[in-house]
Amino acid sequence: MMPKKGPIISNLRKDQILKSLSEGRHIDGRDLTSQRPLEITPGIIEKAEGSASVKLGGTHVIAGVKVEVDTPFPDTPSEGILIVNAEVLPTASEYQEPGPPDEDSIELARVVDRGIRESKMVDFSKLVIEPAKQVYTVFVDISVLSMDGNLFDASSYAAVAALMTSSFNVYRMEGDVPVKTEDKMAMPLADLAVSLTFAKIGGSLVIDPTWEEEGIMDARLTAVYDSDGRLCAMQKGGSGGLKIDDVFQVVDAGKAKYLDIRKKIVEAVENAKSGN
Amino acid sequence: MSKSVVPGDLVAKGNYRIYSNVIKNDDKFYSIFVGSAEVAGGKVRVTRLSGPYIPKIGDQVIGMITDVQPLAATVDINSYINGFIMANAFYKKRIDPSKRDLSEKVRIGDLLSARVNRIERGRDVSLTLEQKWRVDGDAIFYISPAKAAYLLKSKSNIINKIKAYTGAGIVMGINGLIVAKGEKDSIDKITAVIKAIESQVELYGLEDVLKGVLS
Repeated sequence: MMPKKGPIISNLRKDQILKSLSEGRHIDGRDLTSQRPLEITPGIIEKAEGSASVKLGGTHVIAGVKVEVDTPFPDTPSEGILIVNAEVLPTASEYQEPGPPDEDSIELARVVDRGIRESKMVDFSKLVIEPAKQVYTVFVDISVLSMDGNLFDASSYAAVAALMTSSFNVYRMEGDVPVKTEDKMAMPLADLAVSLTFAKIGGSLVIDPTWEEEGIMDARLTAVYDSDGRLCAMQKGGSGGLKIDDVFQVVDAGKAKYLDIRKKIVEAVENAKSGN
Repeated sequence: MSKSVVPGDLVAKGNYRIYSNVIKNDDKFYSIFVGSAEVAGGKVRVTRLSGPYIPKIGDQVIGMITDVQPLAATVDINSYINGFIMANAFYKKRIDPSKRDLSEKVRIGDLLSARVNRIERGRDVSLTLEQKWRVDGDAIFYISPAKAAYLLKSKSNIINKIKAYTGAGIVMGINGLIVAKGEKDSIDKITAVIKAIESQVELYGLEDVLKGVLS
C-alpha cells in the first residue's frame, strides 16, 4: 500500500466532525457559514515592494512582492508580467518535507495567480516601460508558515493585500537600457480579488475548512469574485464529485460573503497606509 | 516549588543526582528544555512544557493505525517517530500471513491502546497491545504530552476526579491523546476541562486550575 500523503484522521475524529457538521457546526464551534478569525497585517517586510501577513485561524501565510524589469512575452508585448510562487515551509506542518515545491504548492500558486489575473485586479497595461522591449515583472512570493487548512484563501488575501500596499521604483529607457530612477510608482490596480473556499464533507458544504476537515473532505471548490461580485475564477480539488446544485450553492454562498472579506482587506490596507 | 526555565538556565548547584532533562557541568545543572524545574530530595528535575511525546519503555499510549501490512501495523503515537505492532499480537498467536489478512482486525484510522515495548535507535518503536486494546468513544482530544504525563502521574488522582465530574468514560495515553465516551452533556463538560488544561501554560498551578473547573 502506498503511504497516504498528508494527515490521516482517526475514524473516531472523522465521526466526531461529521456529527458536528450534521448539527450545523464546524468542529471548532463556528456555524457552517462563518470563517475563522481573519487578521491581515500589511507591510511586514521592509525591503519588499509590498508585503502582508495573514492569519486565518491557525493558518499563517506571508506574501511579498518584488518588481523587476524584463522583456515582455511575445504574445503580450504591451503588458507587464505577473509571476506567483508559493512555498509551504517544512515548519508549517509535520507532514511537510523540505525540497522543491510539490504539486499542492504549485496548485496553490496557480489558483492565487488565476484569481488575481482573471479579476483584472492588476492593470498590466500600465506596467510597460517600452512596448515589446521592457516591462515590469511583478513577483508575488507566498510562504506558508503554519498550515491549518484553507491555504487558498489565506494565500490569496495575503497576495492581494501585498499588491495593494506595493510601490516600486520607476524605470526609464535610455537607449535600449532601462535605468532605475528615484521616482516611486504605486502598483496600478483596477479591482480586488476575493477568494472563498468551500469543502464538501458528507452532505454538507462548509466554508473555510480546517486542516482536519480537509483531511476527510470529498471535494473542495474555490471561487474568486471581483469587486462587483462577479465570479471570475474557480478551482475544484479533491477526489470526490460535486453536483451542479453544489456549485450553484457555493457561488451563491460566496456572493453573500465576499463583501465582508473585501471590507476587511481594504480596512487593513488603509490602516497600514495611514500608519494606524 | 518549581520555576520556569529555558535551555541553558542554571537549575541547581551542588551535589545532586541527575534526574531528568538537565545537563551537568562540574557541580552545576543546566536545563536542556523549556519547562518547570524542581529541586528536591537530592534530585534535579525539569519537566518539559512543550514538544512531541518522547517514548519510554513501559509507557501506555493511545495510537492510531496509519498503515496495515501483512506482518505488522504502523501506529501514529503522536511522536517524532512511529510505532509498530506485529500482526501476531492481534491474534495472540503466530499467524501465516499468506492465509490471514491483518486488515480483517484493524483498519487505517482505528485507535488502540498499547504499551511501549522496545526502542531502538533509527527504527520504529515496538509496541505491545493492552488487554483491552480497542479504543472507542464519542470524542477525541489532544493535549500537550507534558501535561498528559503530569496529570497521569498526579498524586491527587486528577483523572478520576475529571471522570466523576464529567460523567464520561475517559481513556488517556501519556502521549497526549484523550478519548471520551458519554452523552452530549458529558462531552461538553470534558471539552471545557480540556480547554482549561490547554489554557494553563505552566504545569505549576495546573491542578489548582482544574480544581476550580471541577468544583
